[in-house]
Amino acid sequence: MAGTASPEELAAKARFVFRGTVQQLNATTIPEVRDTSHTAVVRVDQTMQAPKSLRHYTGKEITVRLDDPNQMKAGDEAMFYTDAWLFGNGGVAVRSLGEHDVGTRTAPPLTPGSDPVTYLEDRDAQAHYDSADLVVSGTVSGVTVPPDARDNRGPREHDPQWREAVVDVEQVHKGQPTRQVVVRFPASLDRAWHQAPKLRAGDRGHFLLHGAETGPLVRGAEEEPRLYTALHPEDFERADHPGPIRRMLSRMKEAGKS
Amino acid sequence: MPANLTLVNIIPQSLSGETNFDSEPNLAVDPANPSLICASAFTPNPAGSGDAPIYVSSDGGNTWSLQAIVPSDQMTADITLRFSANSNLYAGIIRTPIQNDAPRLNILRSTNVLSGVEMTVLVDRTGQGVDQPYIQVGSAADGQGGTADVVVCGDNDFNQPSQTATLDFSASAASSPAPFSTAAVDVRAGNGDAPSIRPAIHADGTVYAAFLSRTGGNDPNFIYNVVVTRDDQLGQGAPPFGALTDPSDGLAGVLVATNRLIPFINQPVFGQERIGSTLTIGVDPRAGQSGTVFLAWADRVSQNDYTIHLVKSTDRGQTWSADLLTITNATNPAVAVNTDGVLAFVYQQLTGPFTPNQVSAANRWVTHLQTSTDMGTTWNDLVLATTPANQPPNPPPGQVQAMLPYLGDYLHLMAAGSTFYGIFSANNTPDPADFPNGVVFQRNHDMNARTLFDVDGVTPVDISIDPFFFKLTP
Repeated sequence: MAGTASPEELAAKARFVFRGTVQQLNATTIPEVRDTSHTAVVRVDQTMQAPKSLRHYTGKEITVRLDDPNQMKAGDEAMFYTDAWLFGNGGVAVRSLGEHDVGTRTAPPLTPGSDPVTYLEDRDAQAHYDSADLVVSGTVSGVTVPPDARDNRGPREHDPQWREAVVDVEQVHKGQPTRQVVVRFPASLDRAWHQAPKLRAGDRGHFLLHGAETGPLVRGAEEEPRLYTALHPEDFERADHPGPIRRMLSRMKEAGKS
Repeated sequence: MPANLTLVNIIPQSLSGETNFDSEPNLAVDPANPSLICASAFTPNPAGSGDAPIYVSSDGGNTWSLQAIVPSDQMTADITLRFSANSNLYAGIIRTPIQNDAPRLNILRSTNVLSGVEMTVLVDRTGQGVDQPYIQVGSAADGQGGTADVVVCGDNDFNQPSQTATLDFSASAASSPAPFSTAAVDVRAGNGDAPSIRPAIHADGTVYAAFLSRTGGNDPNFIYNVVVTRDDQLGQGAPPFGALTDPSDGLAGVLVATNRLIPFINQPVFGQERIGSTLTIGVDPRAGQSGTVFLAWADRVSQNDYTIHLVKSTDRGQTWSADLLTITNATNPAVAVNTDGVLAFVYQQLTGPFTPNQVSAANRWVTHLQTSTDMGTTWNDLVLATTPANQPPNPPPGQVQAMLPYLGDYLHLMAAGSTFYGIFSANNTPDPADFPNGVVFQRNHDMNARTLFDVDGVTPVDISIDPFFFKLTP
């Protein structure tokens, strides 16, 4: 049953990881899946890692599309590493990225009582931290409109309406030590940008920042401070609204990494 | 519910816990198999990663599922969909993430939407950026006894040197590779066009396109001409889309209305919605009737209003009627004619006292579907939904910023045979009073308690904005 990818590699790619039991091959729980040549009905025995939309399926049967259905038979138990495929009117179908025997080393670890949604949030936060150029805790001291914001180009729905926040740094968790950093963010409410943090003077919290390397965000003069961006919803987490970033920083602090 | 009407909230039962603002819906009905219908909205991938999803129904719109086959990071920044007679699904999207301040146009194709296979990219353009692709699909003889897929996508292309209204079109889009041409259709000097560029295709090879040509004004009070252009050979005319000229200057594109004030306000100013570019065009699909075409836009006629005008041409767009309908404080018009010659018009009207930037319990968003059997002289009005305009609040609960659009910069209406198919977005409270002609919810709900429930059937879920599919056979 085990493929070439390790449990850790599969868990890093998959969104929905569960221990399950194959109920029936070449079958489906939802009529939207027409081709059942590669599908199986699988009972979710324990959910290890899940997005919120898949948190209610422990104990239920779902449809799994397998790469190689010949590797499994009814009654087999396995760890399934999957991504969402189809949200139907009577259930869900997922695509398997790989399966491993339950008896082998598992990832995520089989921790009784752990919340699968929190586990995935923490995993995503760690990946986001790893991709950031600078991670700091601090407070926004002011927000300005940069000269190249180009707010007046006429009717453009997706104009980002760039703004720049100056952040007074209290602690650097990753990157070069600094006392102040400039963060560019889109003020636009348009659906293309609305999830990006909308920073205001006085906002205090944790910033996961990415250097602006290309395009119109690049600053011209070398003596100007390096510009960072906050475009992703997890690029800023308010201190008074603790979430996965604070949990991660706390874990790192306990481990002596921050 | 009237026997000839279907109205369905298309959020699948398995997504009962979602609270997104699933706004700006669009719809595609397979003309060869009207049981197969696809829909889109600002719906993110529920797994929090991967492609953007679309809704799919294979039973004529009675039940719906969601599958992620659109190559865009979790959600698109714009999407419209249409099927061809060969059952190919085409989409025009703005792909996310937007990089370097330049929205990226993709035109996509799926040859089997039920396969779950990611759609194929046919056109990929960024440059200075492209906005609001609105796709239409028709068919033409392929010279080999079959039909070729005709695709025309209106978009606002900032790569154009002057005015930005643009059409991307192909007379054989099912080919591989699919040959596409690009034409700037606003030939007059100006300051750029509004985001909405809307095409309409007739089976005889006629293609109309409507756009709002900016002539002046200052942010946010821009002045526009409402323009319609035409090509009689599926975009192969010389020059393309030059078949209609205005008598005032001899240039391509008839000036249907001139010097109209259309404020562009990208804030939740109008029943929690933004305003600024509202446009639709539809042609009579019957043989020999391509000269009959309908057009609607919204502008400001008084102090604070946003007013829709519906007009008609019976001479291939050369001259236009006075308003057939004038709807005060309304948006999202869409017009279509069926094969019986019945005209349908859908729009969403903000009722109650209106003050910009203010909304109260006295305001409602009322979605009307009007039909006419005499081409717009008399009308039958069907209210599909009348929902509180101040709920859900924008920004939504737990969020510090509003999101726009609230209901959408557009919705869609089309005809397949004698049946009209459409989609709109609205407050999803399961309240029978909000849907006076009936409604079906797939997601867990209690109509008596007016409450939504999560997948577990127990946990209450906040109201939000959902897409609603409708189907009417007059």
